[in-house]
Amino acid sequence: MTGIALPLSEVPLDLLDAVPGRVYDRSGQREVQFHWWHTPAVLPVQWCGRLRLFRWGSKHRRGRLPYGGWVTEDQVRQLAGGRPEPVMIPANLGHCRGTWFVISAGVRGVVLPDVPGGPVVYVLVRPSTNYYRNMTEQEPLMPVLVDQVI
Amino acid sequence: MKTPPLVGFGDADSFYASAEAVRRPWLAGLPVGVLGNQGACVIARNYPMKRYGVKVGQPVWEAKELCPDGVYVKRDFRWYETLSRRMLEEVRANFGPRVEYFSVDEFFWEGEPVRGLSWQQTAEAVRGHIKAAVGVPMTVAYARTRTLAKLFADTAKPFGAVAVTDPDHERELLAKLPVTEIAGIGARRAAKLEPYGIKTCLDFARANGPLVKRLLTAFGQDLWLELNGVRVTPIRTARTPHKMLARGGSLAGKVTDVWTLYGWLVRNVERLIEELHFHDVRPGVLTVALSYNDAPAGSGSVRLTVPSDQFDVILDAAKLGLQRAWRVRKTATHMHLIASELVARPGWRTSLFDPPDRTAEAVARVKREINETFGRFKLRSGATLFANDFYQDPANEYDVCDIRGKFCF
Repeated sequence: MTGIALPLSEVPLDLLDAVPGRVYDRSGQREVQFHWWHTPAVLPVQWCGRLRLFRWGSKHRRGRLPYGGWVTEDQVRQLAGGRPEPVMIPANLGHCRGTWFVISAGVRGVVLPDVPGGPVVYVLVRPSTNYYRNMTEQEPLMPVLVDQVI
Repeated sequence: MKTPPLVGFGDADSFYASAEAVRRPWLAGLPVGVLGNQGACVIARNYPMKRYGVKVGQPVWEAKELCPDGVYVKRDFRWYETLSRRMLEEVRANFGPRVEYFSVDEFFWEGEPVRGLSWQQTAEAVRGHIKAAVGVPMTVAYARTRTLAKLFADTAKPFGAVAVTDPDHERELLAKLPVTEIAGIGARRAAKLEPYGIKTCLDFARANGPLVKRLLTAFGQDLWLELNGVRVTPIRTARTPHKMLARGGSLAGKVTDVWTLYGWLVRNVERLIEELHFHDVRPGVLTVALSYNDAPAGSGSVRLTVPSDQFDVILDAAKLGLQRAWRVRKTATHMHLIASELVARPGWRTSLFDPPDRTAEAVARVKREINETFGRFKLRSGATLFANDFYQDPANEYDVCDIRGKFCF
């Protein structure tokens, strides 16, 4: 999953000041989209009782952070030194290979809170179900969703 | 003077997509496609997505080319059943006690106009009531027969309400509809009618009855009578007993390995036995049908020594059927297990030589009780592990054919 969307009404406007150009129109309804290809790539996260935008993973292969925006449960264990914390990434829609799919509550993720440059969020992933693979044209990994299996 | 009753017909608009919008109101107005059992094909789409040219049955990769803004949702037949039964109950409680559960999103009922309202106003009242009470948009029609009501509802979609009470109005509408709009008259039957100048529904209604019977058999004649206002099929408030029961469908991919096929066979046996128990019937014949990607379909039928609903007996027969239906090294895509020559209690014969298997009966009872208490397939045959991937997803527990009491899908 390389993107999510939330209705504009669910995102405090002041959050968007730092990341302009994320508001889209879908058949007359305005929504905020967060894509991996955006610069900077960020994701909304429920953190300490409010919605925050955190950097989404790392695009630097040689950095100290895990490369990419996704981690499996096994990889989370390897991040133990970074004191990863489980979080919920709220989303109404997920995006993968051109398919927008409905998300009931949100996506599970982990935040590394104490890294240089501020907290970083990763999307938790697992091997795709047959259903998700078909829907997304053979994507091998799928997001771990909150109370939902696709 | 009392108005003679008409047949009411309600057809929920883009039902699966509308049902999704009931629990997710933010979907209203967006192009929505519901994906089928394997996540590959659109099985329903709402009107906004329809406007992009997305068709039912189209693969998702084609649909998203046509409609890049479209959003896709995984089917949830339990939720659709919940809303379907709510609609059924609302019609029954408010607009006529005699209601037929025709399909998951279609209902016929014996209609009376609501006190103080005309037929047209009554149709509008039903439509408004279902939207308010259930949240689903429904097109409603009243006419002299069920065939006419269904036809006129189709002309009024979406979210229409129409009552056709006078013959002139009826003829006017029938003249606009091609004969293929009648449920049961497809291209092949229409081709038989065309040489006789029968192209519209009105042509069909005005055709010579014996000619229609000669061309389309008694089935066509019944449709002809219905189009002329004669009620051939009554409102059926209870499902007529099944002549056959079947379970099966897609194998969630391409299967060449016989053990995986065996896993699916056992899964379908367990699902079929649930149905046999629910309807309290036992089959005399069991058929396994397989569709292949790279070979003609295969099937194998087995006659049971005595009708039975016991797991081991059904499975033994199904294994024989699979052996006959299986084509070595060919790629199977679909499997169906069909129980026929159903015998209802008390017509069950028992074998003269085989004593009742008390142990098997006890095991079956324990399995049924555990699954009823803790959830479907919580206790299942170990052989289903050969098709275990499918069980990892709880949404696979329930299919549209598991919604009981309706006449068709």
